[in-house]
Amino acid sequence: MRGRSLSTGSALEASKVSKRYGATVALREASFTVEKGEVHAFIGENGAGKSTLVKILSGIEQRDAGGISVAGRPIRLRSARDALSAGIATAFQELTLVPHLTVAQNMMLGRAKRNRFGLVTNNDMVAATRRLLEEWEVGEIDPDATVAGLSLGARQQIELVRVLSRQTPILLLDEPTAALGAVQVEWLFQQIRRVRESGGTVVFISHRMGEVREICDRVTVLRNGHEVGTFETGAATDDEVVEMMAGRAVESVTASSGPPGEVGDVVLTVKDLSSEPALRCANLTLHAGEVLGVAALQGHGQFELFMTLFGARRASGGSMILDGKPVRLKSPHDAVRKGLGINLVPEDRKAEGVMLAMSGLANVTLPHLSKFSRFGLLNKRAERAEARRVFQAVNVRLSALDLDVGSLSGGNQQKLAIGKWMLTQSHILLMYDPTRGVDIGTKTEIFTLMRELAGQGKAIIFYSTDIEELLGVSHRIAVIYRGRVVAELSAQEFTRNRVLSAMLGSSSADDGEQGAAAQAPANGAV
Amino acid sequence: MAALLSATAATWSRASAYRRRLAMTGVVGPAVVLVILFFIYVGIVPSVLSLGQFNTLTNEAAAVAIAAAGETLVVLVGGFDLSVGAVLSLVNVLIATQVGTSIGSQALMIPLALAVGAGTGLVNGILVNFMRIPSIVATLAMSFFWGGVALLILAQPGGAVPLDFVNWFTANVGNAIPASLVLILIVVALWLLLKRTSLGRAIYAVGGDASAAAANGVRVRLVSMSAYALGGLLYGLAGTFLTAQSASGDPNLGGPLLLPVFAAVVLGGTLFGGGRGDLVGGIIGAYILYVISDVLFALGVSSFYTNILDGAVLLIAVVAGSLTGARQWVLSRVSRRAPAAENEAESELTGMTR
Repeated sequence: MRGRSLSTGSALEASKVSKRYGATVALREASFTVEKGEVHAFIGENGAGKSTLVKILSGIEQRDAGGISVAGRPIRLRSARDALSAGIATAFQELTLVPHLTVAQNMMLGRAKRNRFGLVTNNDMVAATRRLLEEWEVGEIDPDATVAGLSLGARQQIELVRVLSRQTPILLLDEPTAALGAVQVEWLFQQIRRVRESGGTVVFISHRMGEVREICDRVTVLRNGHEVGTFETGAATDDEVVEMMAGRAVESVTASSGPPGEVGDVVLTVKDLSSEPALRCANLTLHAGEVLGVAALQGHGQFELFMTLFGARRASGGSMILDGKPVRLKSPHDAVRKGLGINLVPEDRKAEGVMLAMSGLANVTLPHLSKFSRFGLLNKRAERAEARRVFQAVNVRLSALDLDVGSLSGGNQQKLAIGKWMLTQSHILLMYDPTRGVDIGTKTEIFTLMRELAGQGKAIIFYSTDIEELLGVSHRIAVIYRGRVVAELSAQEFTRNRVLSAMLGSSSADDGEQGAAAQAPANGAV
Repeated sequence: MAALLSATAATWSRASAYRRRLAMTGVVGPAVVLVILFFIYVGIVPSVLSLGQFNTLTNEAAAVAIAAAGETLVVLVGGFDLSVGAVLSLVNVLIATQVGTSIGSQALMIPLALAVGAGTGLVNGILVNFMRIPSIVATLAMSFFWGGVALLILAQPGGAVPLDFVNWFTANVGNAIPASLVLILIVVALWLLLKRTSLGRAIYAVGGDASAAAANGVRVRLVSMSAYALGGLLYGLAGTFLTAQSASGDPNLGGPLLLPVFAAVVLGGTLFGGGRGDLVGGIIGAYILYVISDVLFALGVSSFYTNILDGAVLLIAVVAGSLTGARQWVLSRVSRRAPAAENEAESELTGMTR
């Protein structure tokens, strides 16, 4: 089925494709050519038209004008089925797995083989799924596991295998790495290379320049629904690409090394903190005005660390000392309200960061209502004034005050989820992968915001799956491996390679005695 | 001149913000429908505008309206309360059997009814939030339970309620305005106050997304339990009114009102699943139901058709609701896709108001 020959020519061509939603133009005469056998990246800020492009190419939405041809043949994509039969398979950013079904049931959904009695048996499905998972080098995923119980990364892998295994000539991957950890990203790149070697074409949509550089042959930059240009990946620097995306010179986030400002006294000491299943005797100190980066591969206890510090998970051992006093958190309510001022910006803003069905105003003030209350009644004028302050500070348009947050872009949602903590006297902000799925422009704003918050004296613990971000914004980086902090690197010490090798548990990175000391019992415990 | 301009701009922005917030409650549509229906009714039967007939109109829907207001609270936090009918019956038989002839004894019935109602709501709230029983199951069980208790208290229709008590609730205040309308306005006023408290805000937050609410420091279970209890309090009030209206006790009085209560909640624009809607909508929804049947009655249409039409109206309301929801969604997306222009307008505006 797949055009295996390494013949050149276009796999996918769009000429002057336009799409409007009401009065808004999402795509404006966008034209591009994806060559056969290449990995082609599309990058652009949120709202540049990437997701609209994916929707049109996958047949979910129809273009208003312009033409699309696949392998030189003009084609009309009226439905997802049309796109599949034209040879375009799409892995969507929003996962399309059914959470309560098993991996096998999900993988075989709509494509299970019937046996001679016309029935679909579980054994057949499990066997077929196991074959597929092994073929695509994720044999460690159990076909019988329920999807809801798997990590976000594993779910994304299943979604990807489902699409990869269709073996269509063209693969469309919409931000496939957003949910993946570093090792899983490597896995994905390996599979993409396999597809490319066998002559397949991959369209890769990502926010991460580093990944685009690593895996993609050519890049098309989109801005305001129109293509700005297509070039060989090596032909432009990061700054040039960001400038093309933004249409203006933007200070590069990762380039600006140098941490935010002076660091104050110790505000939090974490001693031997453990929490099931993955956190084992972690030790940390955090200072006022400090951004402490946390680096770890997926599932090494960083999630448990954040949730325990926020009171959403019970500690099974160890202690937290806040401002010199030991504290015990029973619930997030304790962390937020008890005057402790520990706040969380979660990874999945749709699930925990913001209330989609409430207005921007109500979202920003929800944790601080007592501040605007007199005799139990809210002073709406004061509330509004404070909310305006946050909106202006995080650069979200004020008309969004009265709009449902669900109608805002993901980047704006995340800016509000962070910005609302400006209103507390809080001093510790836990940021768990806050830049996931956020475009570069917004990322820059989030980092600026982090610097500002740190400048106000708040202490920030910042976890990101993207090491570059950690390097760019942290005073120090704590590396967690197998539930322990195995290295604490200062700004003078950390480099990409050092952080990465500590994340992988390689002892050569642990020059410090702390890492070496922690290493031995860690191995014993597993 | 500049001052005038800035003042106008400020008022304009406040007015538009107010409009947007009002639109978000989802009450506007149902209110317009009710007003149109009312005008149609007046067109057919002009005497509705007389105090006597207006009183009849406000009275007939008042019990369902107040009960629907209570149900809306529960639905807003993401629950269902199937016990409303049984609680109405329970309150009814309690008052019918316990009320004395003295004014004091009659007055005492009101706090008793409110306390019983709130107590049943509290039980629901505890079962759902602290014992983790799905709300449909918990409230269904409690519906049987309180229905049984009502039968134990008064096995068959009977009992009598003194005329004073009846008049407090069903007559007119100062010969000018129906007491039932005053009662409803009090409920609305208290609700508007509640909406301005953290509890009011938290009710929407919990219904919208419980885990996000928790991450914002909201005590989810406590808030949800309070909503059930406040809902129960309103059932108590509705039961009191119902008792005054029927002037006697009947253990099966409330049962048939369960479905109209739910219909009123839906007609009022409150979404099942929680987080969206307004208590006022439930009240309006109840009146829509009753005015429709009044109009049909006035037109001489058989009452069998009333049920059929109620069913149709319910479906139309949900479809229309999802259509306007979709329209708002599209509009909001449109406005976010063109942020630059609006951003400028806004910042200009704020510059001016300063």
